[in-house]
Amino acid sequence: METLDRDFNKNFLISLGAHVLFFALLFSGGEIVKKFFKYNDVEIIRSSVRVDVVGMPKFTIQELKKMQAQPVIEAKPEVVKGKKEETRAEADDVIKKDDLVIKEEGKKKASFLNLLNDYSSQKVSAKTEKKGTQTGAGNKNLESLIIEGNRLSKGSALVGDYSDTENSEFSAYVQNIPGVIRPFWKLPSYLLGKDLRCRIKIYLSPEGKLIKLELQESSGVSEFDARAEKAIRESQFPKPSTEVGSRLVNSGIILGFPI
Amino acid sequence: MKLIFLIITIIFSFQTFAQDAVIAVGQAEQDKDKIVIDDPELVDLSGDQKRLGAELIDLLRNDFIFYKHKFNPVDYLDKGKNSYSSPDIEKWASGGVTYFISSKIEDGTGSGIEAHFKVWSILTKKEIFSGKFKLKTENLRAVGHQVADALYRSITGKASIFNSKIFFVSDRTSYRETMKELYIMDFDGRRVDKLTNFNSVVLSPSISPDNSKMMFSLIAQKKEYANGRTRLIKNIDLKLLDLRSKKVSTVSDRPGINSGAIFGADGQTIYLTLSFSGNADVYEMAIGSTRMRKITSHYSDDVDPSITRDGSLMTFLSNRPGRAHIYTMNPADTEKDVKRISFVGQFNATPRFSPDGKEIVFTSWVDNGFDLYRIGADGNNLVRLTKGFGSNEEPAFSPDGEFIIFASKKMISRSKAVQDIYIMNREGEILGQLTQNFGHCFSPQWTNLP
Repeated sequence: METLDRDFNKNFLISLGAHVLFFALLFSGGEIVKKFFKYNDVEIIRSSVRVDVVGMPKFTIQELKKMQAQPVIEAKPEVVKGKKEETRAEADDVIKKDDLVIKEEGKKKASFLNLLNDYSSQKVSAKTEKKGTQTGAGNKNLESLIIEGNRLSKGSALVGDYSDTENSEFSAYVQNIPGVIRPFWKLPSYLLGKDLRCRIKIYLSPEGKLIKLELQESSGVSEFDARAEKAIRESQFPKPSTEVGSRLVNSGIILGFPI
Repeated sequence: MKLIFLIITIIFSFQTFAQDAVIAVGQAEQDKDKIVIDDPELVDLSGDQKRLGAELIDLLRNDFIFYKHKFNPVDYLDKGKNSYSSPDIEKWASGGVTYFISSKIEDGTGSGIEAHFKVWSILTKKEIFSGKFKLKTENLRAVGHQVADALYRSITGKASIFNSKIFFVSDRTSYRETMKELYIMDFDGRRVDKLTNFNSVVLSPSISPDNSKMMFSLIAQKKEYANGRTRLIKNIDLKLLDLRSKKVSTVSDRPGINSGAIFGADGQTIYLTLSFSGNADVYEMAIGSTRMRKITSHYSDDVDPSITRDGSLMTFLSNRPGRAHIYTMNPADTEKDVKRISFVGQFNATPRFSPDGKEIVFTSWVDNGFDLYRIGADGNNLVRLTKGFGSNEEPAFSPDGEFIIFASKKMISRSKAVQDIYIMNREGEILGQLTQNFGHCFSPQWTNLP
């Protein structure tokens, strides 16, 4: 009798277990089966795609530079008046998400670095990783901000949000200044990437002419400071309004090279 | 990301309205320097001395043209009022010139000259270099390159390639059967010297960090006794040439391949490909010692190592994936941190590190010929350097990382081809041909900076 009870208990437990497993498989919609039997296959397909999807770069660096020089894909001038920028910013808000992607791609073509990256990118996964880094790491954003300077484009302004500049004629004027100076702000290769910085205070006349400049903070390398001064002297500043003009004459503004 | 933008925006918004707001101009673009190497002041010179002085100035101007991605050497008809010790700073400043080089050449000992040079930074209005050099006709090019290097250093703070040399292999002495010997020349292709006379085939040369020794493989003939008979066999042995004493010694003559050897940072350790086990692998050896360590250990062939200056990373070629691809690894241990970095290309070859160890230049088979590519040591940023310029192989970075030399083969008829050494900058802009009518030239390598 005891043996019969033990057998019954054993068989009952086996039956219960089998039923639990059956219902678990049934209610999971086959997900567990997929995980157990197909997961490895999926991984193999992924890695095979990753290896063979891209070929060697077709264009040389020199060819890409020539393409960059063609007017069709030239970057748009960076100096934009405050009013126009306002319209553009508003328009950007209206543009749908999908359109924004297209806009970004158009912008990409204008940059030689991006062109180079497009042609040189060899792994599908690399692009995904880059996206991940951009959203996650603050340093990357800061780096790109420094490179851009304080352009009056949405999201990259170093001197304030657009809504602030809207209320300040003075802010609108000074925000344009980096765009005026940057075409002349050039360094020889041996001074690039050395983490040097200088700050120069400039005073402009009501006509926008440079009255004087003062080196407020030297980089410690006279050549670097001289290059920054040269860039200021070669720039043609726009004529400010009467109110802005008086502030520029009396208080001046400090320019950071690069920040 | 939005939060970061917001914080930055708020910070700078407050600054905008503060008395001392700072407006960030942003990063500068790279600029070429306008440089004037002025005609020299000649003081009491004979005709020959004048010619020597003129040749020196021509040599300096030509040297600086190699760095045309950095400098824009210019000449002006209207030279203003300049003297050796007081240049017309205002004139050069108005012309956008950033550096002005003035010189004075005086009578030296014998038929030689004494050349004085000054470099002026026009932007800072300061003299940044002053130096004196003695020259004779026989050492014009050697001293001339030293002068050019001193001027370049005064401006950039870095050493140039002007004092470096290029060594390579050529078959110009071949008559009936192929003979390849080792040669050395100035970086600009002048003053070529023959280094070996083996009447055999020299392969893949490399130089020690102090430029005192050269290593290369040599196809050597040996007598082998087997089955009661003596016969001649050929083997690829590794040889060491002492450039001071001109003595040649054998480093490794194991059966099979003993080649692709490069020096480690200490000048005593070497890395090379050996195939005595029946499979080609990369080994570490010490010169003059029997000590040997296996660095790669795989049933596929691993060849052609190149190592960073600090010895922390090695790149090599392997057919592990079925095709020849580029790998990197830590040579401190066998098969340590092996990483495949090239995933495309039908056949990749000769990976070579840049001096800073951040990039690798290599060649890859494309459209019936080899072309040169550059890739980051981490496997990113693959770029193409050559196209439509013949078949380009065996690239090597200059010691300052600014240039790449390579062997380029061009078909001149259905059955005839020429192969010469060319130089380009790291962006793939070809600067010129360094060898001409010198047989077929192979395996160019740069000496290290003195």
